[in-house]
Amino acid sequence: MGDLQPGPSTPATSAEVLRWLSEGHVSTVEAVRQLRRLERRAGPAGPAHDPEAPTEGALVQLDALVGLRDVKRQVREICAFVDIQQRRAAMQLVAEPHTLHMVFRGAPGTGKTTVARLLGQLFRDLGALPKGHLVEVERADLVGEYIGHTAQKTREVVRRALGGVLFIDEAYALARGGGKDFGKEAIDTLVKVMEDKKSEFLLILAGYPREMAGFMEANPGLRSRFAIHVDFPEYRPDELAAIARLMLAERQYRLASDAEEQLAKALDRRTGGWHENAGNARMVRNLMERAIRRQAVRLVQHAGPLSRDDLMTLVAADLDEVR
Amino acid sequence: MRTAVVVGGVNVGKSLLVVNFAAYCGQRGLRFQPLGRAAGPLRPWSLGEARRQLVSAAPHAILTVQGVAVTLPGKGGPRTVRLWDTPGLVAGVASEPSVRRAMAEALGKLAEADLILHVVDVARPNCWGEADHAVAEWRAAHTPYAVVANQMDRPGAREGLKQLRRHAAGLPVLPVSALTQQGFASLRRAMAASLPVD
Ligand SMILES: Nc1nc2c(ncn2[C@@H]2O[C@H](COP(=O)(O)OP(=O)(O)OP(=O)(O)O)[C@@H](O)[C@H]2O)c(=O)[nH]1
Ligand SMILES: [Mg+2]
Repeated sequence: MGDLQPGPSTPATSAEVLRWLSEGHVSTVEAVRQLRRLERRAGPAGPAHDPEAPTEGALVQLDALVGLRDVKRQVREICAFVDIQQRRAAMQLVAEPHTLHMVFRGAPGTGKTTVARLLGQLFRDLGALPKGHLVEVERADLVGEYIGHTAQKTREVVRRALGGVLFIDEAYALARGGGKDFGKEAIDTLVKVMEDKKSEFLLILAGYPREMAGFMEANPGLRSRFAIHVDFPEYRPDELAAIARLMLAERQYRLASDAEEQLAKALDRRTGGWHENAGNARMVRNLMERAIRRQAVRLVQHAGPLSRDDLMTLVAADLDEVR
Repeated sequence: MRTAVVVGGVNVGKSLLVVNFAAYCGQRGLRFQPLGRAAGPLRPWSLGEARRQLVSAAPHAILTVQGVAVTLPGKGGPRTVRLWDTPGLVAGVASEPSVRRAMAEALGKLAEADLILHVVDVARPNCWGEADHAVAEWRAAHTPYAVVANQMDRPGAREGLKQLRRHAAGLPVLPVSALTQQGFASLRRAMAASLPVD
């Protein structure tokens, strides 16, 4: 898999251009140029809609994710590889069989599921998977209660995922119960269906880095079938702040500048492993949800009329609790 | 109601133009409608109050997009249009998130305009900047478009106007002073000519 440079990315709709502008990804002048480009492509009367191949959509979405530089680079490499192997096969050249099952290593809330979903779309657009949908499961969906039940449950889950992506979150939990546990049966079943249905689905095993390493070590049958490991690092404080703003913008809230400062300070304190959810987007989501509730309490107590701005703005006091 | 959008760089005089032009058109209580506010316009402001609220020598004092309805007399009857004041455009990536969001709101409004007044401060050297160029290139082919050469009452404005006419070649340029209201008659005529009768 050669070292592929990520191509220059461009937003696909005018709404996206405006979002990039407010997120600080593009300058005002660049945003105006992009808007012009989109309109020219759509024609004067047409909607600002991207007529390009749908792959572009998923790639644009991938690029729009906050941070994750190495993950994005790796996904592009994988897609380039798949694309070229398909074309080689089409020209009767020897194509590497794709054993593209992957291990995603990272804490919860670091973007693993989101990237898995986008990978499914990318593979569908490349013709490598017919449907590209995502089936997300965990131990309890695979492991049954009596002998034979587990194999049956696991095969049923795989059947649902055929043509798309099977994403097993906290996959190391399958080995949790030791030798007599039915988790072992689930692993054996997975190994078998990976053999039988080779390129009919993409299997992604996800979990904390250390636990996943131990898990793969203990299961050589699995290990040999996973050539691709993708690491999801913890987000930096500035990336977490960007995620917070995105989450709020989606819900039509925004941070006053004092709240912005307060958040930056709180995030600085919580990264570096001192907090149980350090560096992950779930922490940010929780913080923002709490702030939204506190804002509501504050506004309800407010005597005068409330402006649209009041209703949208979170101030430092709303974030007090996160100090 | 038709949408006229007033755009331009920071502190060129957009807000003063909107307020004074609305007054010039006979609007008494100025009822501004903030962008996206479902509850309808704010309570009416007197001319002085509107100036205090919106006009400021400090850049980006107001980051909201807001519009005020004005009625323009013209051939065939009156035209009602809402005149939208937008925060001044900065060319680069603004460091303040609130400013960046304001830029996005301004461009969003611009995309839906029926008429665009692009304000420039001709008393300033090199008044036609990169953002001015990009915006005109983007919209002028789609929407009735006029470049308003503002601050004509200030020294150096005549030189600036000449320069502007060269840089904004092909676009109508209307010299005005938002302060003294000189040029407002031509501005009103030009606007009425590109809007449909109510
Ligand atoms: N002499 C003179 N001063 C003007 C004129 N137009 C605006 N000003 C002054 O320029 C300053 C900025 O005016 P604003 O109307 O707030 O400018 P703006 O373009 O709305 O500024 P932003 O919204 O911050 O981009 C104020 O102090 C105005 O009084 C004019 O035609 N002549
Ligand atoms: Mg202003």
